Amino acid sequence: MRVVIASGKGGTGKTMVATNLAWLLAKIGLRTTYVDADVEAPNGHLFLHPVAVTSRRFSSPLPVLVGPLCSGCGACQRFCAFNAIVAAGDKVLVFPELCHGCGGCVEVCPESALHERPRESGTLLRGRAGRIGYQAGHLDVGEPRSAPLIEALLEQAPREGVVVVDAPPGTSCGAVAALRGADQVVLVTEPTPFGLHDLRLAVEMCRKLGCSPSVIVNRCDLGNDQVLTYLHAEAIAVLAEIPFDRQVSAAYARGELAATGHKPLREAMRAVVSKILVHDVDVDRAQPPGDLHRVKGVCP
Amino acid sequence: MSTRIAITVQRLGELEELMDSRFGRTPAFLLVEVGTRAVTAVDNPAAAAVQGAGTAAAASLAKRGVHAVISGRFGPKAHEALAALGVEMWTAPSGLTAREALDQYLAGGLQRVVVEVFR
Repeated sequence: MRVVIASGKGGTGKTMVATNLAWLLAKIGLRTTYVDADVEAPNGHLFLHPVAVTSRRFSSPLPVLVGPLCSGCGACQRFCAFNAIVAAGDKVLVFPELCHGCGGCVEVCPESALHERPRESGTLLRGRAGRIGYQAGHLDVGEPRSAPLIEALLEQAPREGVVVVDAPPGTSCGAVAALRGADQVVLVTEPTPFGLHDLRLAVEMCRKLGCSPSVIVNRCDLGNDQVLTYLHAEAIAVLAEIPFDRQVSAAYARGELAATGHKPLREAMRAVVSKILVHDVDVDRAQPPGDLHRVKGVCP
Repeated sequence: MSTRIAITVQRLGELEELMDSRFGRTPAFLLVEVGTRAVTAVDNPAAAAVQGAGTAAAASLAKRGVHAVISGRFGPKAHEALAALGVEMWTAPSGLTAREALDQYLAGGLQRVVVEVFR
């Protein structure tokens, strides 16, 4: 079962929720993997402190001109939907930041002058944090496209147990890539005008992808009640409302899992767990709490 | 053969149109035959591109046989593409009409963008 923790606005508490949720899921005996898909600013490791981390480089195919075969016909340029190729005389300029690696230019080149070579753009990591499996993607600095790395990261995620995905903020390609294949989508928001604005966008994104998100309202005692009014009007389930607490902030700043020592946060996470767990989860050796009930929400 | 230059403008029209300071996302180009001063206005096919507007706009100008382009700014990828395609880049201050930019260009009053390699 894959639970994706996403948000519209950044800084609402995705990583705080995802890491503490993973901790609680593992604590109650579920086989749990935390996947840091916020590949542009991954920081789940600051709280989970994974060990035995191994890494491998990630690359995707990039066309390169081989030999003096190019006739300058421009077929590659005309084919490229992403404007990543410019045919200039008998040269071909490839812009790696624009290329989506579809391979179409290589196929349409009548001279077979283009070949694909791997181009590195990030690192995939895996390790363990106690009973929690840890996986992450780190996008190289300066890389504009995160989706291919996120797709590869989710490809290697376990099929068993509970997988908690810490998604990137926003509603662009990276966030969409992180949502694909979700069984549950949880949006973390805050009750501010900015939070509401981006929450609306995130809800719209989820619905376009065919998922029904639920929401955690973090720092629920700050700001105004417009987020709750909106959620009520849209019939979106609120899994938990987490009040602002300086102790939680302090624990977070120390790189700790606040739920381990802070009962209100732990109870909030327990409420979330009880609402998101579904019956078909692999509960090998697990002692799931008795109050679990089923909430549906699938992102194809 | 006449020299053809392009000027980025805010909409299709004549030389009285205001320049657009963007290269890749400019709505339109005025193509000017320097010898005859004949003007042809063309849409920028890349204006609304999801990505790569600069490279696509550069390719479209090269295809039209443009020798030089006057704009406000050129992004790094547009710059690289235009340089490879042999199209000169000239920058004009903002707020000019196309005619003012053209006159300054012909009088040698505009700045040519020096070719740098970004990668």
